[in-house]
Amino acid sequence: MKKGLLTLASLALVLCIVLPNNLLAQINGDKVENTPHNLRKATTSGMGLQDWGEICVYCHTPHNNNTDIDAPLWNRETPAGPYTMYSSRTIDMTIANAPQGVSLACLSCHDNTIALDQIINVPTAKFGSSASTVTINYCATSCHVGQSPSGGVNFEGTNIGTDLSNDHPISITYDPALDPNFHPATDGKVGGVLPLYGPNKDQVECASCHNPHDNSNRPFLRMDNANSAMCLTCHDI
Amino acid sequence: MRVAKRKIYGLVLGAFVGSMLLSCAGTKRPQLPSPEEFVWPLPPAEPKIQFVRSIHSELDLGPRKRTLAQKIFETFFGRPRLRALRKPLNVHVDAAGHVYVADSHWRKVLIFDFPQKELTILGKSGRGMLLNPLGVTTDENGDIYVTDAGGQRVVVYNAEHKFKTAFGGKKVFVRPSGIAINSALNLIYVVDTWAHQVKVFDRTTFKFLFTIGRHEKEGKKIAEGSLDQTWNRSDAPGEFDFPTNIAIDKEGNVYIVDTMNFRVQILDPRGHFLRSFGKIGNVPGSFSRPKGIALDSEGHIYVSDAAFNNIQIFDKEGKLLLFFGNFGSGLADLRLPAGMYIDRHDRIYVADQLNHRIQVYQYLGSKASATVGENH
Repeated sequence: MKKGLLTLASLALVLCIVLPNNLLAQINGDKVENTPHNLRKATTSGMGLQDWGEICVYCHTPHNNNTDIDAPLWNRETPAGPYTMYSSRTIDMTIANAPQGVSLACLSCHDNTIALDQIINVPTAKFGSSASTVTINYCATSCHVGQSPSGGVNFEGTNIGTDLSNDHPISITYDPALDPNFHPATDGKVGGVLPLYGPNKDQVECASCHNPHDNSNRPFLRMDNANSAMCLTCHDI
Repeated sequence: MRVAKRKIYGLVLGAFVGSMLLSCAGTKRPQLPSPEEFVWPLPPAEPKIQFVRSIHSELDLGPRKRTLAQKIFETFFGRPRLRALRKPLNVHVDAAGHVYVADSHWRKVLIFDFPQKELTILGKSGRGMLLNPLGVTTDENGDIYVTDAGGQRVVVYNAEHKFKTAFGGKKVFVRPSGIAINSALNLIYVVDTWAHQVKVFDRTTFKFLFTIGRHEKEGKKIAEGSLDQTWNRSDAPGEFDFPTNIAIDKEGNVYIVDTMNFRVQILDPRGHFLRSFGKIGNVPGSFSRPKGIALDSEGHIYVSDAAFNNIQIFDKEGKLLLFFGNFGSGLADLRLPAGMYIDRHDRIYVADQLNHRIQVYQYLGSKASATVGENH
């Protein structure tokens, strides 16, 4: 196992999905079989249906995999091509020209049909209003959008703008030399917890913040984000 | 002295102009490959599929029509921001040739009117405001039906893009995505992805008629719209596991992409199981992330797969005939393809999600006459 981790990704954007109580116990697990990423029917449905008998097959395949990708045993080609993704007037680091390997694996389900996509709902959605509306209560959007309950700095006043259809950038090179407001990375990890990907171990991908196999910190975060601790692991502000 | 100065100025000017002209002489426009370069299967086999074009933005409609006042205004104040596709999820083409795209970044439906060279954005405000459109279709009257996962409803507009009505709601849908209409039987089929069902409505009254798929939990019927429906996942025939898109053939049979069962199911108009094909795998003929489905005029089944980044073509029995498309951002490539539609002229429209465009291919028709065993 490379680096001792099976690091397939979920989303780069932090979402909090409101669910009824009887589901919570079953989906807050630290093993993939206790998470929503266990797509095996018998366990998640609890109805004793005939199941595939496998959890992993939904995302992994043991043969004919593409060895260029940093995610182990993934059946996907190496991406390439000109592509503008995240953009911001305050960005200092370089963004890859395309969502890279690990993140592509996530986006194949998280494209808004099978699972929520990487786009947060525009701020007209009320926080926690219904099961289908995403509750946004982490970092940027609870504090930095318009009239925020916590009264944080309004991003609209700075250069970010009101269009929040951009998500947290993925496939972006993490290089604190270009922007001093970031903690340094050591050994391909930031803060010893958040991994970076790519041949130079310097790319932020979905899996930098999310561990698709472990839902102890919902949603699939690598660490608890209370007081934005996870955000502040990278951002030095 | 004056004469000498003039001569020098003349020489300098002449040299300047001459060098400018010379530098222009050598420029050539970059040559883009022509569509015939992108055919499948590759020669010497007879080509069946050919790439036609991409649709990125309003620039593909042709040059903008501008009044004189607009031209003057824009000379001083700049052109308005270009409206381009951002993350198309589903595509539909009506009989008049309008291309409808459900875009999950815009969160609206973009309508490309090629005859009139206009781009309309549908669902911006009002009663017909769209929060999260995932599927779009039209009927023979020109009415537009859009599934809105954000509003958990289906919104109906008339041919002038005005809100007509909406049906569904929280108590009916969990997450509607694909939609298709059977005009002859007046039925609207809406795929409710997170309820793992297909819900069928009457087109005249918009009343709910029946459900296809599992709708029981422990022997008891699940209340419509209840989140208990998310437990409906099943791999039994006629039941689904995250179904996404739907297509209808000439006989009214429905073809549903049962994504997390990695198969396509074919049911009759009432939802009775006819047959299915496909299994998980990464060899041709199997599926990994099947999303879009469409049928051509000869009854072939086209399925787009977001993990293979290609489109596989099957015959009615589910035998693989051909697959086309490569991963990438090149002219004819695909990157996480999603919904598909094939129009009357056998033009194949694919929502090329991460390349933010619609890819258009052409099915060239079966040149050989039907062989034994083929039933079209």
